[in-house]
Amino acid sequence: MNSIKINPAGTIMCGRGMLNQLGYEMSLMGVTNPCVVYEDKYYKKAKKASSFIHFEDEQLPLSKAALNDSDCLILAGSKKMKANFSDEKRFTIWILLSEEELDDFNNTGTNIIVIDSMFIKKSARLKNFIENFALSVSDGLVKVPKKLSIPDSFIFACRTSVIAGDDTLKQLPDVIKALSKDLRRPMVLSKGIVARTLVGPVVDSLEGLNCTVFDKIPPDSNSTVVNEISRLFKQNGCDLIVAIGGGSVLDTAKGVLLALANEDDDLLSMAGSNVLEAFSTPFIAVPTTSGTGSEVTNVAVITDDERQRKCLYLSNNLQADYAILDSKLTASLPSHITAMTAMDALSHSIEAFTCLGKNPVSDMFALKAIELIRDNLISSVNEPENLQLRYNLAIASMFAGQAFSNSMVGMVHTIGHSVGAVCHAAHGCCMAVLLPPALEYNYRKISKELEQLLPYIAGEDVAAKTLPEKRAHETIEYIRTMNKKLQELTNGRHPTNLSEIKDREGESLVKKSDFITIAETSIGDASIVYNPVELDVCDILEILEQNY
Amino acid sequence: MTSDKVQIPKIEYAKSKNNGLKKFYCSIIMSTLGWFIPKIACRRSGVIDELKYFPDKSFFTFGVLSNGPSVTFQKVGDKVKKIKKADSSQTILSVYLKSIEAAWLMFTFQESTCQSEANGRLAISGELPYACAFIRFMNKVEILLLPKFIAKKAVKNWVRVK
Repeated sequence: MNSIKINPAGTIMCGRGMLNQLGYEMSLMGVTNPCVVYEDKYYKKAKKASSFIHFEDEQLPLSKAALNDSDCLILAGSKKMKANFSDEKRFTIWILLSEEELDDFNNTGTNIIVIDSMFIKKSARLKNFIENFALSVSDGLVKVPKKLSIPDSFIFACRTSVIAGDDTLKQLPDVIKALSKDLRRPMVLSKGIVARTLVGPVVDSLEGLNCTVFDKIPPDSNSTVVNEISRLFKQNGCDLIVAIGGGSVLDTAKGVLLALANEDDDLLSMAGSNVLEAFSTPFIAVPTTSGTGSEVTNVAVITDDERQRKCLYLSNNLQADYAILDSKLTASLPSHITAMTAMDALSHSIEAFTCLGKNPVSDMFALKAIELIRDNLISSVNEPENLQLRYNLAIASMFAGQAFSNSMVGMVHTIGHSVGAVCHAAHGCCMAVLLPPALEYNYRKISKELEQLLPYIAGEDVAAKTLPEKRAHETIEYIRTMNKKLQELTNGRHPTNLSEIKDREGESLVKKSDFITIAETSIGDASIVYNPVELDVCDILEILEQNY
Repeated sequence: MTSDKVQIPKIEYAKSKNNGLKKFYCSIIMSTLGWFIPKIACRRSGVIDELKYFPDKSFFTFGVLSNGPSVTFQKVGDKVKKIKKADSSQTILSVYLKSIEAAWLMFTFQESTCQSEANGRLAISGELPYACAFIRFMNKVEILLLPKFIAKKAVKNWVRVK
């Protein structure tokens, strides 16, 4: 059985205007008193770089040694200098000032790496650096493509430490100790069968700690339950959140982080993108499905009960501190749930690879996720208790999560979220059905990317036998074939069109009469911004009609 | 032999780059938007329609961090007014570019609004459906304001605005 432990990637900011933006990112991380530490050989460049960092209208101090009262060290120097600060407990930022520093990259836990085009231009060396970065923050697992395109600028961030394998949940007590020896009162969140079967043994394993358990989380995270948990958290003096469950449990945990940081009960006041400051409450995520990738993503969706609206929160500070992926937890998932959650992960990785926010690091994560899904999904549906296959799907889901958390998703999610919200259809089913038509809609802008995807989704042999001009279409057809195969294997429970998304009684959940509401809701979904092709209500109605 | 003397690091302070020219250019663009949006763009039904879900008398702000130029509008009926100061309790959306460099890239049409958001250059406070509507609204404003060959760079799809 494989197992991995991946340290947090931190943040890499690469391209134009990144030094100018650094001050804002530092503020969100709660930095109050930074200093720039430089080496003699880079003195002039360090001074120049510092002049572009606008941190709360203060002039940054520059020194050859770290200042004791600083809470953040901006290392403007060589990789050797960076290595000297590898044990530093304070927040560290490394600014690369010369191309020679790109060689022989070794990730030693810097919180932010800044590669501004003012000092480092696009080159083979930079490409090599990015490849090495991605390999080092994925335990060497990501896939390096033959062609890696580097955009003018991008940011990739992952702050989550990941432990994956068989029986890894047993490591929870050690993970809590690794976070802080002072943590004494965890709050454990879960629901349903997980609450009934798993939470008891987990609480028993945390002997010496005073656990509070909350297991009444609804299918959709909402503000009422989030505020109730946050009150309980404060009342019991809890100091840590452990969320064990699927997407709704992990989203609720993220909502509790928001509520704890908010003085009143109005979560809506914190809605938005890139505006949340770092939270002080540690958060451990233990996913029990392989699909959402929520354990590593920067997204939370919470329904505001008062206003009856789903609110989206986007911030890198919503990423969990630790994610524990235990393949045993997904072994009992029914085959149709395995199929749809894996198709959700596939849609994350394909959209991450084809939408506006795509970047070379997320591309590598996405490609590996696609390959793992190709090799393990069908077999996993056939052999649900094979833990190796479950492990591989869990890694695929987590990598897809890291990819889309940084590149965001496009119209598959734009329409899929609305079908889910209006018709109460399972998210994974919507993703499986909408992925092929959405790729067709975006075809004229993403045909090159689709062509590149064929060897990853269908295998090198299929790609080699397909004419280059037909590869993009073949990629879409292969996804359709996967859906059909999954439908056969799940006795018709996996849908291939919207009318086949059914409830337990076999009634179709999506009605044609809902189409207008779905289309109008869709154009307010944030993911529409990242879709490479413009989309309006008429386009969405046409797609819904064609795929019913 | 070790010395007991504590070495105090020599400190100097980095003078912030003023970016005067870029700030000035961005201020002109912001002022132009402040005039053009209420006086010209919002008289078109295709533009004002994008704000149909914004509550009446609500405020929204578009600006540049930190201390860069900004402009605030209020939706009143089917019109939009530029105003000097917003009532924070009624501000439903604030869209800020994180740095003057980010504003420069957007206002020189090297990056579209959507690409700017995808590159992590925007800080948006408020419900994201309002932000989506605002981005579509700004796309239409740009189509009206700019010559076609420039506007095509600034939006995903150039279409004639009603």
